[in-house]
Amino acid sequence: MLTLRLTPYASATWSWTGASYVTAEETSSVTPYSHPMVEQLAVTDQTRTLLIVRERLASRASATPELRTLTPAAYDQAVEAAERWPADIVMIETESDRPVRITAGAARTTPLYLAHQGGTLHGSWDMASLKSYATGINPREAARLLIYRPRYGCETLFSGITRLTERATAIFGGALHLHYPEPALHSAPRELAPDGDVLAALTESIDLALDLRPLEPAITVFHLTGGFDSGVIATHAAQRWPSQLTTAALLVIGTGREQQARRRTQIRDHLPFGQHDLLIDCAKAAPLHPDCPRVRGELISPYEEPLFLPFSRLASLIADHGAQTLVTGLGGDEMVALSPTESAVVATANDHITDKLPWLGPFARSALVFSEDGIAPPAAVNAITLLSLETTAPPLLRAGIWPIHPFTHPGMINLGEQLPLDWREFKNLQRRQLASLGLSQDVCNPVERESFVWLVEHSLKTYGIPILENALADGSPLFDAGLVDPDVLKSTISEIEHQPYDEEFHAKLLQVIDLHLAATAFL
Amino acid sequence: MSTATLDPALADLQPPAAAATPTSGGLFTGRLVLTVQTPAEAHETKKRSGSSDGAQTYDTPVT
Repeated sequence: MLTLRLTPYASATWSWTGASYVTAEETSSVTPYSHPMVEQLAVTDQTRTLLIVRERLASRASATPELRTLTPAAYDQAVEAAERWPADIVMIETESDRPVRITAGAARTTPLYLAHQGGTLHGSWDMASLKSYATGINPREAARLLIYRPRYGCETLFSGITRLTERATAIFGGALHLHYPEPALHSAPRELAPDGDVLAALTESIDLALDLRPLEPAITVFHLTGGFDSGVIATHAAQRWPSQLTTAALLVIGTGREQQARRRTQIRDHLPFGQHDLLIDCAKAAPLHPDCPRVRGELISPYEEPLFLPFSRLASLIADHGAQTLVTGLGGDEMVALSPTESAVVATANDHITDKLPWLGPFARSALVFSEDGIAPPAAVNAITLLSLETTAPPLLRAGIWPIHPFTHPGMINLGEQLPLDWREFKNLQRRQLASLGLSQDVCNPVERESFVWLVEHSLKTYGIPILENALADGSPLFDAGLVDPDVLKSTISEIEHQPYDEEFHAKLLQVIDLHLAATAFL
Repeated sequence: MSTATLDPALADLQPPAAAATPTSGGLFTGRLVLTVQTPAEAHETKKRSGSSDGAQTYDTPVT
């Protein structure tokens, strides 16, 4: 939610320009992302200065950004209060002759990447701004990504670029040190009270999540993908704000396409949504198409949407509609996930995520031994959800859209973790909520799989293979670094036309392509 | 850490009081047990990777 340039040991006297906080002689600057959902404020005790950029909360006037002078005791109270902000927040503390400190909140609606050079720390939500500080590929992180076993942490694909993770503090003054927090604790499942009304608790939790921020229905779009998660949020919101809400989705291709369209129509007809439904047909916006900015060599972070083209077009469509905010269903899977101890199937679910992918290069294989090192401790929001927020935010922010993810609210997470097994398996919580609204069996228990799997297959075969063939002909930083074996990659793609498509195997070539494109653009 | 109330002039620095949540209102019985998650619990996806994208899809998670 901001860009920054901090030079410790230079001026620590700040002022607000109307768009940025800057120091004397502009040795340091902090520029908040300009959006009605974001605000900034600053306090100083004339020795220490605290700059805050944060998500606004509902029912509160926008904070005044001009610096305020406090007593040292009041300054301490201000720091402690900021640490308890319930939405996304970044706190920057500066003091003469001391390192600068940057702390992120737990929500992490938007990412913050950091890099430093020549005594100055640079930061941005858009990794493209830090291109010049990328010095190479981090083999451990590359290996994690290549085998589809991501780990949330401060390491990014690029050496020289660091992620400021949730509740972590970056301390910069000469060197950069990132300090992880204690692990967030999580609840175990509990028994329901005899008269426990789970669906009432769910809708109450959704209301708490929706009411946290100053959401304006007229300029807010709700994802309504056909999936249960966005469906639960959007249908409840439609009941709260009848005839006001615009919906949006990507239309899938493949077996589930007709069912998705039918179910979405049923949902929109049954609940009081607004008249507008913003759709991007993935059949006409396939990932890896030559029109995709990533394919064209633009600086797109490897952590942004793998299906970049359709998602960025949807973001533009939402912006053109006049919306400023998008509500998603991200985090819904994690809310009701079973643990490996609850389900033998879950325990072995990731067996297909193998380090035996034949195209893994020798340096990636050896780096995998250390893949669990240096990762962030458990967060309040599940790491996979946090990474999903990170894929989603930058394309939306470029379009002027602020994302809201109700399933990441602590109330939703706590509710889900404590639910008994039968409420969580098969996403029964979401299914039962939709059924309680009178939605049909077709909506609540769809038969066909609705997924991007066919889109990925089509994109790989049509556009992805040529990209890989070009990489084999022209070279790739991934080959140079020993992370991908070009000979095995070549034989794999030459066989792909003659073998049945294996979505759990061949689909992982998508990551090879995305990392190749990112490494080529950034290095 | 100071626990004193902020000067009312600095009210915009103060977070709102934590709202009561449904889980604190008797929805569940028994003790609330809090644990430290393993890396697999904290970091791994609960879905099969059929759709192969970092963003969430609506593939039904593994159950």
